[in-house]
Order: sequence, then structure tokens, then C-alpha cells
Amino acid sequence: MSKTLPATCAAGIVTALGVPIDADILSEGVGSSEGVVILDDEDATYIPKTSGDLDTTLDKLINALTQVKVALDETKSGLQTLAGKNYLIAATAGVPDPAASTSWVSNITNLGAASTAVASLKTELQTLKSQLK
Amino acid sequence: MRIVCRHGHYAFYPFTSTELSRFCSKYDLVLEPEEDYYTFPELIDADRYSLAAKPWLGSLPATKTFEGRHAWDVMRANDFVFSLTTKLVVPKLSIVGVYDNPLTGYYWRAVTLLPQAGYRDLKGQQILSFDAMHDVGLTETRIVSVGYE
Repeated sequence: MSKTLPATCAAGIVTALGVPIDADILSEGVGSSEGVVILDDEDATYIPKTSGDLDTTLDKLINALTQVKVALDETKSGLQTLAGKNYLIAATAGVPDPAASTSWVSNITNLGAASTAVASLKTELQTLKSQLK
Repeated sequence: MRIVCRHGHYAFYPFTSTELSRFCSKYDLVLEPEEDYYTFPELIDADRYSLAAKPWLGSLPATKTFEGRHAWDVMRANDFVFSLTTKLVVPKLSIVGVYDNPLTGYYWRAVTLLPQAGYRDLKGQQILSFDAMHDVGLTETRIVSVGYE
């Protein structure tokens, strides 16, 4: 038989039902957390709920990926714009715009692929976040 | 009726329902059912765990963080006994008294209705548990065995 009680942990001190408990902490115990304390005979063990940490981490990752995707898309768009601007004509008075080099086209393609991959990863993380257990 | 005191927790096991009602009527007691026995209302629904410094059974701060199978396990861990006088859980060392009932044959004869857990025997050891048989007709309690923990 064992008894499970709601508990919190802050600065390594576990508290349940308003009183501090001498319990083994199954986490780093540094940050504040909510969880449960399991009493079994003279043993007390604190288990934090880590899903909140994971939820926050996923949020940050998704936000970071969103920014990365925006940056990639803007870079790709900029390169494509530059490729058709004939800016060399204006700069050198009559020198025709060179065709986009193979490497330039490849870079633009890679940027598009990277953006797609980031979008896909972001979707996967959003799915994972929505299915946290 | 069998009366079992486990570390100051009293449990009554009547053999018949009339025996229980006669017992309660005769001694003006109120007992309530719990699990497979009857006990004092104050002991009903006692937590099977204690948290150090948190009042247990609403009154006395527990001395240990502990989880047990029965209320008397918690009482044993915290050195509590139930006071028949105050109907409260108290520290076992706060019980002062000597259990000097005479041995009759192979059992003690209790002059009082119920021995208070925590009384000491003539050697000074604290009696915290006992197993007894009460005869309602004879108004007699025969204590078959005692325990010191």
C-alpha cells in the first residue's frame, strides 16, 4: 500500500498539504515544480510533473523554427529578386544581366527545401505538443 | 465480544449484533463500524498516513512522515495512543497509570471497563496493546495477552 499526495518542490524543499516533507526528489529539484509525493512506510518520494517543462520547451522550439522559416523564406525571396533585377546593367552601363549561375539556382533551391523541412518539423512539434501525455 | 487494542487503537469485534447493542447501552458508549470491526467515532476515517508536524486526526502534530496499512500503524510510528478519557489521540508518554489488575488463572481481570493503553505494568513497562474478551452478561473483561509496542 502507498499514499499519493499532491506536492510542490521549490529550492529542493518538498511541501505537501502545507508542511515540508523530507522526501527523495526524482528530479534536479532546482526549479519550482508541482508534482506528487508518494508515501510508502517511512519512505517519501517526490515526482515532479515534467510535462509542463516539455510543453514550454516545445513552444520555444516552435517559435524558433517559425523565425528560422521566415528568415529562410525572406532570403530565398531576396535572391530570386536579385536574379531578375538586371542590377549589373545599371552598375556598368550596358553590360547584360548574367544568367543566374548554377550555384545560385542551387542555393535558392536549397533555401526552399530547408524552409519546407523547417515547416514540416514545426508541424511535427505542434502535433507532439497537442498530444502530450 | 473480542476487544483488540493495537497501540492505543481500540477495535471491537462483537459475535452478535445484540451483544454490541447491549455493550454500548450498558456502558453508554457509541461505537461505529469500520472495516470489519467497531471503534470510537473519533477514530473513524483516521488517515493511514502522517506528515511530520501536520496534525493527525485533527489534533496532535505527527512526529513522523509515515504511511501504513491501518490507523494503528500510524499511531505506532508516531507513538500515539487513544485516550479513553479525552477521546483524543495523545502521546503515549503522556499516559500515566499503573495497570495492577490481578492475574486470575491465565488472564487479567480488568476492574475498569477498558484498560487505558499506555498504562504500565508492575515492572514499569508501558502496555500499548492487548487482546481481550468481554462478557456482557458477567460484565467482565478478560485480557488474554498484552503487548508493549
